[in-house]
Amino acid sequence: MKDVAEKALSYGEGKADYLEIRAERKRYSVNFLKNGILVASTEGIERGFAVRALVGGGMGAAYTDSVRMEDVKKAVDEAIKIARAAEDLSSVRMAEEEAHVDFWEVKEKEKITDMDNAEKVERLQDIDSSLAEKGFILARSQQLIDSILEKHILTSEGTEVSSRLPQVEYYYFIIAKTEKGSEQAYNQLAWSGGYEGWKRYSPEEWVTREAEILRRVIEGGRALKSGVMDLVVGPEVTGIAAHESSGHPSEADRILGREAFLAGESFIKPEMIGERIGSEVVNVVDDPTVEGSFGYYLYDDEGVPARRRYLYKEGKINEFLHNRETAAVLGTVSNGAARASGWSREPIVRMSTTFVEPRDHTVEELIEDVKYGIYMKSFTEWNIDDIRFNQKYVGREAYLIEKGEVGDPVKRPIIELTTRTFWSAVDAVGRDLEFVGATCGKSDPMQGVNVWIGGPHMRLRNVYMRW
Amino acid sequence: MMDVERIVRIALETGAEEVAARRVESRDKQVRFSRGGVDIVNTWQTVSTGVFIATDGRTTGVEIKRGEDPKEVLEKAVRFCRRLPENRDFVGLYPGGGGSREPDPFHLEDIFDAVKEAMDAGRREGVKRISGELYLSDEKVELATNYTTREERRSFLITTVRAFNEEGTTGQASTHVADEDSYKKWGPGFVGEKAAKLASMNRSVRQGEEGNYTVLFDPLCFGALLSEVSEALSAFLVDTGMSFFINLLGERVSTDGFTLYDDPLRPGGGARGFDDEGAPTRRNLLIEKGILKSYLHTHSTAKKFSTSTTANASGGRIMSTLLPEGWQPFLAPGRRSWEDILGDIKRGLYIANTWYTRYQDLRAGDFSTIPRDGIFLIEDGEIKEAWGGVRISENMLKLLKNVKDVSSEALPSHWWGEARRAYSPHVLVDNVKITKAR
Repeated sequence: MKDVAEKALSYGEGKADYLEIRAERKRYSVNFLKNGILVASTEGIERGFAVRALVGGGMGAAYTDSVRMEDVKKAVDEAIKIARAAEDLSSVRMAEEEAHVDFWEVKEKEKITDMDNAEKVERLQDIDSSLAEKGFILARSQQLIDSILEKHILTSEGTEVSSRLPQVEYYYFIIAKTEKGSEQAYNQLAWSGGYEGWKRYSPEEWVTREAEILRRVIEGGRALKSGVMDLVVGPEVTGIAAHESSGHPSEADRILGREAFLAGESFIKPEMIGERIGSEVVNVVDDPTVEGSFGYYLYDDEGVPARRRYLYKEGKINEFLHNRETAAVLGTVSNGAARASGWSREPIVRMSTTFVEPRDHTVEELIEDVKYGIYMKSFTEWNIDDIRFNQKYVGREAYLIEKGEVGDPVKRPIIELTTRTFWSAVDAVGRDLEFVGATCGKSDPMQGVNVWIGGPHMRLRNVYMRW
Repeated sequence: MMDVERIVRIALETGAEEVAARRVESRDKQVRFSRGGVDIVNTWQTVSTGVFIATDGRTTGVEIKRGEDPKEVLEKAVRFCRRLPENRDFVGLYPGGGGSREPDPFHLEDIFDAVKEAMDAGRREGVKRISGELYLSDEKVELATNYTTREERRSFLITTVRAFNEEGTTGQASTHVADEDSYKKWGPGFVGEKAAKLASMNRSVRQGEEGNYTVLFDPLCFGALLSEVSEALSAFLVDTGMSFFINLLGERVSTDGFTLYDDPLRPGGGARGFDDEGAPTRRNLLIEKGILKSYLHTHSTAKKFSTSTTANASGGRIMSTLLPEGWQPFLAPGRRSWEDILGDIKRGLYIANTWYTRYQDLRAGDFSTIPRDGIFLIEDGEIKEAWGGVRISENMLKLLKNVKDVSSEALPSHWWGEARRAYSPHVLVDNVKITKAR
């Protein structure tokens, strides 16, 4: 596909102020097991070209799934034509960027293509059997997806970046039910690399442990009296809060209003760099270069090198996530956050691996200093408003802490608080660091991109907990 | 002979027992705008051919891309399929055909004129800026199975506008239309004007108060909730144990005034004449006067539930499996205008839109969702003030059982990727739990 992209770029040379051609080929397999039945099993190849053209201030993009030269040339013509048609109504600019020529890849130790489909199905069936044997897991839904994405990004400015990215994703959703009620759990255990990553998460142990947690919550979980108390959160809760109330509001396209009609805007305004949003122990970063991460890349989809971005630094708003378009508006340069979820989508500002930087406390030290509070290890329901300020997390695995000791399970504790309240309440951050996968949704047409969320345990003081 | 018929023939020769091949040729166009200008114009020219294959009780799906040799792809897929364990949920494809929908293709002479119409309609006193999109979808769909061959054109326009006032608070409207009459009523002019009107009202916002309220839902907001209801009516999710409608067939799930259809024969963004296994679509009665009458079915789920298909089989992007999916929820209108309903509210809320609906207990229906784009306190039948910062923390079955009234006109509502294109009137619900951040 790269040769077609090169020829198409030559064909369009000089006809637009900026021309970008992205060629993608993804080999994938999907297995979907529901209550022991293989509902879907498929493998295939997805491929296509995205052409973006900037003419005057007009931006046009044309997408084709044809690999024939004449069709890709037609896409070049179309992108230029519609960019020109939009010129009078538009003022899009792109920040300066050096041309980069490079190739990057993630190596697999246990190659995805060496894994027989029968073994993938068997792994899902083994987990399903373990869950079914328990007798109280009524709904069991699992998916195992793997892919190898080959991508070429070529621009009229001389950038030429190619990559090869293998990824594996295991997703489950289970519902436990006994006479006393029901509880649910879901998660995405995902990574970049080959099947060697399976050992990192051990999905069978992970999910069967999760099933037992749900049973304990149903059988012995108590609802407590609502009130102000301390809260220790686990890496999953830290991660979702980092993603939702630090990552999203730091996306410059939201800040500038480009996503306003759907995904919304941000409580952060351009002039708020340096403003305090949390306590001094809070560093939230977004980093596409975390090894093995599900949001891994070394160059973004505009060919800009990736790097770690400090979104909140020592509790202050520090840096936004940019693509070249938003960087131009705010008079800066891109920090490599442009991502498209596939060949048929435009690159927009996205997160990768968003997490709280670990500090100095052990989990035991975080807990031993709590007289009365909640240890919320993981969450189930969550949501946040469209400026990313008013958020809610409902505990999935949670326990009462009394006099520094973790006690009985607690049923669905709820925090419903503002971004400022959440991050300001953090008084200590753990030294541990864990991640899980997630699919982050944004834009229209919808773009679900692979990310990691995570961080260490954290302690929050005087938070209003409700049941 | 259509390509899809040829693909079915080759697949059968290759050893498949049942085949459903679907070819979708898309010519889509989108204009996105914000900050007073156009951000990007996107166009797609794609041809996607997905093939569902069943043999020896096993099933798979495969995509044949442009330029590929169908025989080679299908032989490989059949070999792959034979090595799989049985799909015990699959009993066979719908053994028939039909579907007579032949709509005139919807088209726009100039999408930029329509964009300007939406933007101009949104520019009214008090509106500082607007953001939105027009998305014109035009698909030619061909489907062939062992038993039938069907084709149709599916085209529609989505218009979304969000208007911002000088305080930064908002109003939003979003519709789907597929014919000239609907375009005139609910097209870009209507959407821009409604968004601007809501933004003009949504001023001097104060933090809302927790409590239980009578709520009048705007069609955009209730359409998003209908989408959740439609999802939970999937017989597949009911069978899996992941629906709040389990064991409720024939039971009361709402009040007398609540009658819900899945209506793909009504012009709109969810319209179609046949499903992905070739069954002719129809207007399906799902909830009649508050009584749950039917789940959404494929031929296979229907057999499992000892009933007939509702023609809701969806093969997803590449026909990897066939699962029930609601096409276009339609909540039957009531008798009173929404203005009259609002006029009778002693104390309550008007909620224009919502987003981020998530469940803490899918099986029980416990969820929360975040209202946006206008939350108005109503006192003595009049809008008194605008609120912000609140959340609906509810149970879906409780909410349905508390439906008090449904207004006299159903509007097309489209709300982003999470929700289906629906038709919903304004809906009045009692005793809705409102919470807020502390």
